[in-house]
Order: sequence, then structure tokens, then C-alpha cells
Amino acid sequence: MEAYKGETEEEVFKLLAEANSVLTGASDAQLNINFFDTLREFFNSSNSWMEWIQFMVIPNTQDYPITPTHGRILRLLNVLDQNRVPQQAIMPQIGMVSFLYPYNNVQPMWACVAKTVLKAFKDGVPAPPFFPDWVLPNYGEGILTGVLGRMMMQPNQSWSDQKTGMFNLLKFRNAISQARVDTMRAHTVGSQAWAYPQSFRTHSQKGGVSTFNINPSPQTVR
Amino acid sequence: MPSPAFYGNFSDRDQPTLNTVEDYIAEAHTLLQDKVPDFRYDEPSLLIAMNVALLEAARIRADLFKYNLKTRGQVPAFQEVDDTHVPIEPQFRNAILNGICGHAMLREQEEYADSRATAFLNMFNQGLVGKNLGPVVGGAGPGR
Repeated sequence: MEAYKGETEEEVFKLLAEANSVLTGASDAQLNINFFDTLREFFNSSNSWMEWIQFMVIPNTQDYPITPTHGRILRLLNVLDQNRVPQQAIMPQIGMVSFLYPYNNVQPMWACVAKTVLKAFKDGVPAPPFFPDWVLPNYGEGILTGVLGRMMMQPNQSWSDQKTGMFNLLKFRNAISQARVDTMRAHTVGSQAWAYPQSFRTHSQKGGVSTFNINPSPQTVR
Repeated sequence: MPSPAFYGNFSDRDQPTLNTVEDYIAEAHTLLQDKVPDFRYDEPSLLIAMNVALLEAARIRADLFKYNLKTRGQVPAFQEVDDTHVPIEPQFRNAILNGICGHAMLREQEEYADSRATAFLNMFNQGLVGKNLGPVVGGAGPGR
């Protein structure tokens, strides 16, 4: 949710203007493409853009296609049933939740997926993609270093600067780590990304995803 | 209220400086000191110089053209000196102008013209891939 109207637009404008000021001779097209690639790496490495997608489970069907409202699905993080109990599921194809076993009754479930940006172009020319409102206010500085680092590492350009580029890419990787940890700890301070040791867990990873450890109670009757 | 020095919807296309083919050719005539008809550098030859400069720009700065999905990254080529928009980001328009002048002057045989053509082509190159423009050399030539 934007803190004020037009915040995302302002943040994008700020980031691209800052990058353009530092990178002498860079074109808008090149900056936008690198902004897109930076966001893609950021989301791919941090799993920070998530969406819960509801779908209805019916008897004797194991595969369910799901579609996000925005962006592109990268991977499945978790599947919960109506009692918020994690279920054993995998995503053999992107966008297809596949249960290991069929269910006997109709019930809603929720798949949590990690997503990334979708479109690098608008009206045929490079433009900032759609991404959540919280990204730039929280991680804008890190993403700026990603754009700068990517651009500076390009050879034989007026903005080439390998040394500073490496420094910026290191800072970008720090931002990715921060986002990954923030997501893993559900944006809390002091909590742990903790789970029972493997042999004591109620859900093993052999059956598919088992992150989050939300409500790790014994499995209910299906 | 923005200053009246800003134009249109603030897009690159609205920037009036060196916006059309006519603008480039007129400014090339100015830099080449060829303002009085009959022109030494006629419009068809300057048009070719412009198209060649755009091709060279695409070689050393592919990003200026290749990211246009609608045109599949094609480099534009102009057939007429008219008010057709030249789709170049504003900060690189001066480089294209220098490229036109440099290519046009390559036909000359005098020494001063060679060095002046070289200066134009260097400024073209530096404007696209350098941090600053080099010195303008070559003088005005004998009898001018």
C-alpha cells in the first residue's frame, strides 16, 4: 500500500534520475532494461514478492493451475488447507500446483508463491515494470546499487567503472540478503526462522515444500 | 507552474531541439558554414550523411535503437528532408549532428578539412561513448 498517492511513481523517478546522474552518457532505454533485470534478480534471489492464491480442491484431482494477479510465478513456497495446515505439494510446472495425493472432499486451499516482474516494455519501449509498492521505499537504495553495479560492469562505455561496479554489486547482494531475511522472518525483529529439527518435524521436505512452518500441528483428517 | 522553456508532455519526443530531419540538416548547414544556396553540401548528400551517422551510432551504441520492440530494433533511414521526427534521445542528438558534419566533410581534400572532419567524427564518437568532447581543430581554411 502506498504511503501517499503517487509514491511508487516518485520512487521510480528518483531511482532512475539518480542512476542517470551517476552514469554519464547512459540512455533511458538501457537504464530501464537494467532496472528490470535488477528487479528480476532481486525477487528471484530473495523470494520477497509473495502472493497467496486461492483455489478449490476437488476429489480425485491432483493438479491445479493457479494464476497470480500480477507478475510471474517463480516457485511454490507453501500450500495451506482451510485449517491453515501445510499440505504436501510441488510445482512440477510453473503455475501448476500438484498434490502428491488426491483429496476426498471439496475444500478451498491457498498456495503461496514467490513472484518476479513480468514485462520490461510498455508501448514497445523499455519502461519500469509493475512491482509492489513496498519495494522501493524499503529496498530502493539497494536496488539502485544493483542498477549502478550492472551498468558499471558493462565494458567500453562512458559509464564503465569496474571497481565501483563491484562495490555496488556487493551492496546489492547485501540488500537481497536483507530482503530474504526480512521475508523469512515475516518482517519482525528478533523472531527466528526456526523449525523443529528434521527428525521431529510434522512435515518433511520429501513431500514437497515445507517452509514457513506456520501452525506446525499434527496433520488433521482430510 | 513549470517554466515555459519546457515543452508538451515532457516526453523526449516533445524536446524541440534537433527534433526533425529538417532541424538536423539546417544545423548541419550552419556548422559546415554552408548557409547560402546553391549549397555545397546539398540536402540529398546530407541526408545520406545522417543515415550513415545513425548506422554508426547503432554500431557503437546499440541500446539507442535495439530496445525498440515495435521496430524490432531497426535503425531508421530517412528519404526526405521534412518534419519527420528523428527518434534519438535528446542527450545524443548533438552527437548525431556531429556525425552528419563529419561524414559530409570526408569528401573534402584540403588538409584543414581532413582535420575538421576528424574533429567532427571524434566529437560524434565521444558524444556517444565518451565522457567529454575533444578539442575542435582544423581552422577555417585558406581564403575564408
